[in-house]
Amino acid sequence: MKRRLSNSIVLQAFLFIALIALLIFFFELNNLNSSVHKNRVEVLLLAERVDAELDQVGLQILTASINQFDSLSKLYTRFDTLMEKLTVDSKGAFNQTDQLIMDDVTALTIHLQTKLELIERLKTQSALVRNGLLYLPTLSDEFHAHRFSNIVSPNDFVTRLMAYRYFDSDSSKSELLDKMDILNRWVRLYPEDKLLVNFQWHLVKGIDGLKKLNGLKQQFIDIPTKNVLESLRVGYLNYHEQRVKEAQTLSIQLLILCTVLVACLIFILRRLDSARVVAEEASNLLHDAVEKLSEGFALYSAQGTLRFTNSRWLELYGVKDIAEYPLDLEELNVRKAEFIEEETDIEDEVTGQQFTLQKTKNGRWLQARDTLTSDGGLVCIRVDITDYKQAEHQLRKLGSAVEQSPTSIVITDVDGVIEYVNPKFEELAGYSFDEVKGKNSNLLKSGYTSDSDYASLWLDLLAGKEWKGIFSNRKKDGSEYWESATISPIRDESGSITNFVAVKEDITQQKANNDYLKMAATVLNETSEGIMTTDATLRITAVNPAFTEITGYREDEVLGKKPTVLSSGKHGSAFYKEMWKVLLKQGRWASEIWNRKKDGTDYPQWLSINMVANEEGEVSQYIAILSDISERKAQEEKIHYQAYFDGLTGLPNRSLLMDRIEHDLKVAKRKGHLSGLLFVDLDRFKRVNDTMGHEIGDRLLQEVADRLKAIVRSSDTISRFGGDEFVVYLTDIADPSDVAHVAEKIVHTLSKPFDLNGFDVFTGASVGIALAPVDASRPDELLRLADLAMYKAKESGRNQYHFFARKMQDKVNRRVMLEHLMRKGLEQNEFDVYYQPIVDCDSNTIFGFEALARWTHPEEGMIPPVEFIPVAEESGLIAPLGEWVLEQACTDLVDIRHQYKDVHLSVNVSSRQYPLGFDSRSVKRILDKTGVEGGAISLEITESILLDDDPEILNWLTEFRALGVGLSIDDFGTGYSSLSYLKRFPINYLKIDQAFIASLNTDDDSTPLVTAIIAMARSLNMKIIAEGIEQKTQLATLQRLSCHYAQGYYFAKPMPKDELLDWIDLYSNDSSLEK
Amino acid sequence: MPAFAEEPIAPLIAIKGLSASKVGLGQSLFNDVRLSKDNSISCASCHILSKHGADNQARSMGINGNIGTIKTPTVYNSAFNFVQFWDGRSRTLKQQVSGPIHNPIEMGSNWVEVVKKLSVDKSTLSRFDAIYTDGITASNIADAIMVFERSLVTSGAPFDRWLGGDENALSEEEKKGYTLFKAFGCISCHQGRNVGGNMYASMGAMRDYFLDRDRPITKSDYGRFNVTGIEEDKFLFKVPSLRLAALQTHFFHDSSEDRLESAVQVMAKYQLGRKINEADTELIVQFLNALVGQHPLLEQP
Repeated sequence: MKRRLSNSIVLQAFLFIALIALLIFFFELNNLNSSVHKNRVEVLLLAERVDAELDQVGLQILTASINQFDSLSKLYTRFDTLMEKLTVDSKGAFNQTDQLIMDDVTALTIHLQTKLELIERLKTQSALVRNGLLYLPTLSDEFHAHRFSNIVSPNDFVTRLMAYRYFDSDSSKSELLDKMDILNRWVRLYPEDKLLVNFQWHLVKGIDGLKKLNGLKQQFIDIPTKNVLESLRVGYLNYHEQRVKEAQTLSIQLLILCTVLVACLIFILRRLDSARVVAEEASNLLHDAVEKLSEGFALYSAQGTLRFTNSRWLELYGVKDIAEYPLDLEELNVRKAEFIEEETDIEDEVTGQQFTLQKTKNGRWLQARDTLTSDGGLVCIRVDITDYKQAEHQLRKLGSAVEQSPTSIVITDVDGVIEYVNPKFEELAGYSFDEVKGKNSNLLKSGYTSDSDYASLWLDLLAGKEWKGIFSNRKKDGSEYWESATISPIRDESGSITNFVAVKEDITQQKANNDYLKMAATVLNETSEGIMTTDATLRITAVNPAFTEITGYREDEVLGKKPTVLSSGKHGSAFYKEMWKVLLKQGRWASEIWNRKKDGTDYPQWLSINMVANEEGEVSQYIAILSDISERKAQEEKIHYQAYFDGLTGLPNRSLLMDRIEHDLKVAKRKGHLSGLLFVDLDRFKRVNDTMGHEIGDRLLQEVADRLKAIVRSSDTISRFGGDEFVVYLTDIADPSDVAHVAEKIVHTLSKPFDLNGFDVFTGASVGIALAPVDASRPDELLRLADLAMYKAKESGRNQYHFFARKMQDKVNRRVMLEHLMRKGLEQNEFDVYYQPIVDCDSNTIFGFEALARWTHPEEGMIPPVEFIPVAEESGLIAPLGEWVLEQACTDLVDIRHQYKDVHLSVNVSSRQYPLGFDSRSVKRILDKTGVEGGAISLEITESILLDDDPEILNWLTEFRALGVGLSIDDFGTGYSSLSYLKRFPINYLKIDQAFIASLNTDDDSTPLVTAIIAMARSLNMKIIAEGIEQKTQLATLQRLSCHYAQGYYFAKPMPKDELLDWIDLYSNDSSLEK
Repeated sequence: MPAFAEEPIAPLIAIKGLSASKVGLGQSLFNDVRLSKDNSISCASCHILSKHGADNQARSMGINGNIGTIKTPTVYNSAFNFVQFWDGRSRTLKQQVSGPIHNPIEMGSNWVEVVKKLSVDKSTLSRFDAIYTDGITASNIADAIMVFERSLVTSGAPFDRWLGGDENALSEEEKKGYTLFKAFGCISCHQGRNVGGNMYASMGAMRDYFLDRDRPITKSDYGRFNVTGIEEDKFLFKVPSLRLAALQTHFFHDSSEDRLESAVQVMAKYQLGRKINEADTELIVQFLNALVGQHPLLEQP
């Protein structure tokens, strides 16, 4: 319990942690919102666009390919939008990414702002340069008229300046600067020449402006926005990829977590469910156990509260619903009169036990026994003895009937000494009771009846038969009289004859009349036709021997009866109406009619009836003459038979088989039963036919048919399907394994040699099996599948059977293999005996051990008993195995007893061992061989064997007891438990099944039921062994309930002898062990 | 493709899809003196819409008789400027609204105060509630004013009609003036539909304007430098729109000129490094006159 509790805490804690983990995962995943990512990508795209546009505008300005700047307003708007998104505060798109990205963002912001600033400067500067260049041609024109124009070509300057403006090459720059040097010199020489100075000033301004513009251009180009953008893009995509990976990891973790959670939930639910099922089953079984008792049972707690009753209890008191019954003892005392009319305390004369005799309101007589339980409660048991009471009453009635009987009645002992005569006898014979009491009945002999008649009378009586007859006796006054007497033996409970009773009627007058009739009847005795006469009321007055021969009825069996005893039921009422009509009209009637013989067979006869009237014309009697016409009928039958039966084997032929299958499948559909079709093909029939001739072949088929008939039930159908093929159709089978058994038997029986004309002929058969409705639900389909399966069987080597269904076949194969392995295992000592200790609940000392067979196969490993025990039982190997276990355990017991005196050994005996010949002689042989006394061991049997209520079983068990060997009921409560059965058998121990122990102290507490079992068992003088103790609390409860012994993992699991010896040491010496 | 596609100046076209109620509310607020600390001035005090979207003062007067530090720019067509203020310190029109309100020598107030004052007035309150779910807030006041300012577009100028294909919309002189405007290079800075307002330019790109000026340099003269702190940005200003230049009485950030003709010539000297003769100047001025469009609130000269 504690372990389960701590388990559930751990589980709950785990679920709680998992939930928190889920929430964390959830928020983590939320962080990776795809819209955020989308937004960031959009910002990246916007940044690239803004950057590209800035570059484009910069280029346009530098190449003077833009003539107004209004168009930039959209770029400004976009730029502002971008800047808002690139802010590093919480509104920024890249907020909450990593530092590297934020550094790039900051750098990008600065670079883009610088770019925009440069655009503004470019705008300003380019306007200036443009205007300068615009003016220079004008100046140049003016300069043309100048005196130096032939020396200093103004256009040359303008051209070079233009070249510098648009091609910005070092060569054009140096050429221009060279030219400017010349001009500057001229200006220094002629500073008063305004035109020259102005021209030079504008040129210098223009060159300065251009330098500045080129500088700005260079600055603009040098801004590494592309790199930063690329770095940001790559950095962010890596970052995102990383996050996606993390998200994937998170998802996977989440998935795993969810899976684990779901698995936990399923696990918990399943555990809850299976715990509930086990508890329910246990509770139901015990309820059933107590419910099935023929005794009424009620359990009161120490406080007097009614804790449990079975329905028998309520039935005994005539209560329909438990709600109508008092809830506690106090209420019961008040309302007692509602249920009990009277009660008397009685002491049992035989046992000396005290009990109360109650008469209930509903007229039952109950034997009431109330016992205090160990915890102060009250166990009440009511046995219905109404029947005894009624019998008593009946006896009284019978007594007076005998006294007042109009026939004389004599009761003698087995030697014929008179013990009782009734008044009618006194009147008839003239003797008073006192005169004949103690005298032999032969004092009545008249001498008319011969001694040999008397001898045969006694022979019959002493053989236990009833004697009926007529004899002549002598009255006290010496006169003779004829009596018709029926003398019957009277037996006691053990069946031995204690008395004879003679019921006699004075027929002196009657006999005289009958003598005459007898003479008349002699005439009839010789005819071969059956003759029967009846009186007017149709009571049979006479039949002749031929009648007896035909009908099987002796005269005395039909005299006084009506002829309807002969009727077969084959004719309807209309037939008889017609018969009477003819008979009354014509005075005679004759027809063929079916009647029934005494042995139950129907036969056809020719019947003619004559009506005999007396002088007054009234019907006085009927005379019926009947002759058997069975022979003729049999001929007719044969014709029908040949249509449906195989002439050779007498088995149903194919068409009858098909009819039967079809019919069965219809029934199966309604009732839902299982049927099996076995397709049997003889393996070597053709060879037999070819080498030994058809005659032998036919004989073989007949033999096969006979052997098959011996295997199946009468409800099953065997059909000769054609050639050497037979079909066996099994209807209403409980389990497919039953079909396997039959198939196995068929293969086995047909593999044995056939003795034909002095030759040993071997044939063998292959069997294919199909199940309906599992495999098919149509006759032809079923046949086809069985045929297919048969070929499979042939393929796998003849003398085999094969299921059409794979699963079934696997099961069969496994079983066959196990049986084979087990045979070898038994030879090669692969089996061991393990022992599980049984502890005395009171003293905590070791009471004994249960011996358990264990099998370790060298290749298959440990094969559990649940698997090999059924195979052993089915194959009969349980016989050698069981005896070996018993012998080995007894041998070990001798060793164990060296160390621990007086321990008890408990060995399982399968009910299958009973028909296999295991009995008290087997046990005695082993006891003698090993030197173990009978009292040291007990045999564990299951309840099921007791259910047959077979006196042979009782004998079988009693003989074990005679050796001093104890008997124990294993797994009590799992079968049709009934304590009332148990008390008929000499049982010493009751082992409560572990299912009940497991549900002790649980929600479906089995405590009251276990209490009940213990109380009942105590009253039957049985000791209780509780199986499957796993927890201390269970032991404590059992101790409180005064359970005798306990066994289970709480103490030890089953173990080999050596380990057991160690365990005994430890257990008996270790005081710390919980005892 | 419209006829003007090739030209560096585009026609002004009224902004569509403005909420009429917001425009109405914005107009009221624009004229609302409660936006100033002492309820003495409104936006409209300096940005006189019947004139040219600004006053005819060299420098405007704020609360308590404070004199501003820089010439009031026109509010007309300001929606098309790439930045606001001479030094471009506001990127958007809406952002710009809080500038004058908080400027101690302009309106000298603050949003808390303005919102408080406006909230007392039930009719204003209900107008806001009708438009904005959150009622009167600084953002909503600025929004309404911004929307109103976006409605201040002077469309239908003769030059715009000419751009649209109406050859007769411009006189020959005006056309010549436009050609000169382009030929001299004015167009390099004064381009786009606002004929300016979409770039920065250095005041005195070719010659030192401030050296020649007879007044000392003030902080306002530093222009964009006041915003960026970069030495190169000293004397850099947003190029002003010339759309309503013909209506102005004062020119440049420092109102150093009060005649359009002389303003043209100052520009030629300092920005282009050349002289424009009187005849050409006259033609350019005629062209500038053709840039003036119409607005219901703008008095036609």
